[in-house]
Amino acid sequence: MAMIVAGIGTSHVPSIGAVVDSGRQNTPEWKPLFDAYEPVRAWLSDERKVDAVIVIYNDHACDFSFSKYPTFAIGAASEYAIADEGFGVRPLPPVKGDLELSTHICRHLVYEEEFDITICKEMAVEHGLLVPMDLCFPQQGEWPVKVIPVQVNVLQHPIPTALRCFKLGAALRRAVESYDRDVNVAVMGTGGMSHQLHGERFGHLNSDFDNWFLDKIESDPQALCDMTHFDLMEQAGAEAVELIMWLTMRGAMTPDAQRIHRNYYAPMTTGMGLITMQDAA
Amino acid sequence: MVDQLKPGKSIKDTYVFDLQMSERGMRINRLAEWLNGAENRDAFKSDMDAVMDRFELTGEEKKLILDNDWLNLVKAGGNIYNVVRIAAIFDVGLYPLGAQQLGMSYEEFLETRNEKGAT
Repeated sequence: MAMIVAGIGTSHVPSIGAVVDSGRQNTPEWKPLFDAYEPVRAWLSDERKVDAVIVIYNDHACDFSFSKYPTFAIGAASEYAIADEGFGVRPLPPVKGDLELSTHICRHLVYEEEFDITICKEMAVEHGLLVPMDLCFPQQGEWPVKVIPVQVNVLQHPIPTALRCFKLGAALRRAVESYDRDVNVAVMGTGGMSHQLHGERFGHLNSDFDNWFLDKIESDPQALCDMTHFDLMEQAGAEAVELIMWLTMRGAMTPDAQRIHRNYYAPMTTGMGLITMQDAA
Repeated sequence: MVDQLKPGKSIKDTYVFDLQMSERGMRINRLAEWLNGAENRDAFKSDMDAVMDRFELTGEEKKLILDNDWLNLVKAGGNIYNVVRIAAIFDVGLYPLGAQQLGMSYEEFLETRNEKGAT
């Protein structure tokens, strides 16, 4: 039977991809970030033995346009192209999908959970998905795990509530646990933490909020589900509303799941957070 | 219904990208999304007016782009990720774009950061 073996919350700041592509991970400015992911990578591959990862991310008006912008979308393909986000295509191999698991999740979400998600046979993936992959499952000619991309509209309001994102996570867990193949699945919620990129509030950071969020995602996710988008944006910056996607990860874990790793680094305009979890033994 | 955006309340210096903003910025956003391809970027660089006409930008919107007025492009409904795409055509990166929104020079902005080398 398939199992959820790990939960990961991580930022997906695009500059991280540029650092990876230019091999600057060990510069003084970036080492504090990349060092934090080293034990995470070992844990995911050697201990949790992850085969596939469900990545909850948002497309930044790249593969989807605001003309048609799905609230929730899932990939059902065996391969996903690397998107051009307006700056050229990163030198990465296509992301491998798990068509069979994706198909099972689609059927489960729509038939059993009444979660009528948009199903995509073609999806090009961008930094929202790729940066977390760079950090947790880096490619060396090919990616070490298969990916089920789950895209969430967190850009064009009305966007789904934090609670709805949490419920999607619980539904994804039931989908995985009803899959009859032995697959170790990780769930990754991405985005944030505090940042605002538009307007005269550019550069707004709130490290106190970010650390509070890291506490709560572990011990009291209900407090985060209760937050309105307004409150989240007021405290952490408008673009920080991406953090609701971490709640999908949390919803896929058991209430008493244990935190394994945690890191926080805020060098420039975005709080870069990390948390990993696994179900209590 | 809990309105997630608390109508009547606003966040200072923040222009939440809702359906009203999206409607206002539709021409700008369509053009910017079209820039997700090298050939289209080249076409835009070689004849900006022609491309802006094709996407039916208003005179005011064209001027904002040609003036590199990023803050007012946001206020005109340009989603920030799309404004970043347009800025890239002019070789303006995210941090200089942000500094300009703040009314600062890039150097001044970097001084406000915890680790200014992490660009």
